[in-house]
Amino acid sequence: MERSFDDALGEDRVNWLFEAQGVSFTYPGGITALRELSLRVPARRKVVFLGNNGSGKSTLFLHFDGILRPQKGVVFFRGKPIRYTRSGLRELRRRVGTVFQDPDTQLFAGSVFQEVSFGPMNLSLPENEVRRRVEEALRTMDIETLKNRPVHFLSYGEKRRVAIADVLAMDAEVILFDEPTAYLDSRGVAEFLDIIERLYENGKEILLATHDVDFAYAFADWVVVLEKGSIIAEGPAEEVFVDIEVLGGRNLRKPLLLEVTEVLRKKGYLGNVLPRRVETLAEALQERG
Amino acid sequence: MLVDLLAHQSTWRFIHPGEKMVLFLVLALWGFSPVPIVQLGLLGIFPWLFHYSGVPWRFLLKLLRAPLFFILSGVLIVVFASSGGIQDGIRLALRSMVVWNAFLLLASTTPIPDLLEFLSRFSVLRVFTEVALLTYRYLFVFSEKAEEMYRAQQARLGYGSYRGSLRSLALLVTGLLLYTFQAVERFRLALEARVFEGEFRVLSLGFLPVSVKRLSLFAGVGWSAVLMMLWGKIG
Repeated sequence: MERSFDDALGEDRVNWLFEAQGVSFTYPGGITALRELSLRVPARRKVVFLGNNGSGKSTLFLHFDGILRPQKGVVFFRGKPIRYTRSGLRELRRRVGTVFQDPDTQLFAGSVFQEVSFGPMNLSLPENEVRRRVEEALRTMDIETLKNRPVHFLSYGEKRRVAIADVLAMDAEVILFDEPTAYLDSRGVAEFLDIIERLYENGKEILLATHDVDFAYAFADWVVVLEKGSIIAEGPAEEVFVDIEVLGGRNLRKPLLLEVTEVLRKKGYLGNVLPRRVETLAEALQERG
Repeated sequence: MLVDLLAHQSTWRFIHPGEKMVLFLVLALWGFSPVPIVQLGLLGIFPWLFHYSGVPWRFLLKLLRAPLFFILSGVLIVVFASSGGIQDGIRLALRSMVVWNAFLLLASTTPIPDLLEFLSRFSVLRVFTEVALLTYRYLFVFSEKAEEMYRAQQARLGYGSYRGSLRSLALLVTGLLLYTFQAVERFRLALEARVFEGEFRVLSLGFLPVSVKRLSLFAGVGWSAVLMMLWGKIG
C-alpha cells in the first residue's frame, strides 16, 4: 500500500512508534470498535487521534497499552509485535503510560503522595528511587503542596494533574491521553497544553485522543482521523486539517483558527503562515501592521 | 464527612498512628473504671486533648452530640430494667461518654488511610485493610455521584409526591449500581495500565517516630487502670 506521508517523514522510516496491521476488535456486547484498522504512528511527533464519540479512539489506545488484545491483526511497538505474556506486558506498560479520561475512577490511594507511588512500587523499585520519582513527578506537575491531601479534597483539575503525575512517576517514554480536556475549563485546557508541550520538549512521546478539533489543531504535528473504527485520514497536521471536511464529511469541521487564517490569507492580510494559537495569529497580524 | 476533614487537618496528624491507638485503648480502658470520679475526671480532660489536637470547639460539640440519642435510650432501659436503677444508669452513661470521647479523639486525629496503612503492616490484616481503603475512597466517589443523580431527579420534580419519591429512589439505586459496574471496569483498566499485580503497595507517608516517653506514659496509665479494676474486683 502506498503511503503518501512516507515522503513527509523523509528517508527515516524506522522510527515508527506504533504500528497496527489489520486490527479488529468487537466488544462482548457486540459493538465493533475497530474494523481491520491499519496505521503507523511516527515517533517524535505530537500525535493527535481525532474522532467523535464511539469512533474507536479509546479502544485503539487500550490496544497500544496491551490492555486489549486484537482479535484479528497485530500491534507493533517500536517495530516489535507486542508480546502478551506477563513479562512482555509489564515491560510495555512500564514504557507506555495511559492517563484515562475519568480521574475519579483511576485514583484510589489515601493521599496524593501514596497515589503517585503506586506505579513505581509495582515496578519493584527500591524505596529511595520510588520516593525520588514521586517527588520529581509532583514537582513537574506543580502539585507538591497537595502531597498529603486525600484525593477527595482535590478539584477536578488537580485530580487530572495527579493522574498525569501517576504516569510520570513510572518514567514512561510514551504517554497516552484519552480525552484529556473533558470537563476542563478554558484555563485548564490552556494549562494542559503547556504541560504536554513541556513534556514533549523533555523527550516524552505524546499521543492524545480527542473529539475537539480546535484543541487538536493547537497541538498536533500529526493527525489520525477515525470514524466508526476505521481510519479516514492520517498524516502531517497541515495537510489533514486543510482537507478535513472533504475527508470527514458532515461529522468533522475545520478548526476555527484555520478557517479564519484562510480567509485572512485570501484577503492578503496574512503571509504564508499557519498560526496554531490565537496569540500567534494576533502577533502575525500586528507585524503586518 | 466532618471527622475526615478534621483528621486530615489535625495537629496530631503525623504522630504515629500506633501511638494514637494505644492512647485510645488506655482512655477507653479507664472508662470502665468502677469509680465514677475517674470518668468525671476524664471527661474534664478530654476537651483539652481535643483542643491541643486542633479540633475547634463548635465542631466538638456537634460531634459529641451525635450518639446522645442511643446513649440516652440505653440508659433509660438500664434505669428501669436493672436492679441497680439510677446508679447503674449513671455509670453506663459515664462509661459510654468516655469511650465515645476516646474514639472521637482517635478518629479526629487519624485519617482512615493512615490508620489502615499502620494496620497493613500486620500481614494478617492485609486483605481487610486493602478492602477498607478502597471502600473509603469509593465512598466519596459514589456519594458524589448519588448526590448528582439526586439533584438531577429533583430538577425534574422526581420527589414531588410520595409515590414519585419511591420510584425516583428506586431509579437512583439502579443507576448507582450500574455506575458502580462501569466504575469498577474503568478502575480495573487503570490498575492494569500501572502494572498492578494483585497487591496494593504504596509508599508510606512517613509518620513521626514513635515517642518512647509518651508510649511508656500511656502504658503506665493503662496498667494502673487494669490494676485498679482488679483491686476493685478483689476488694
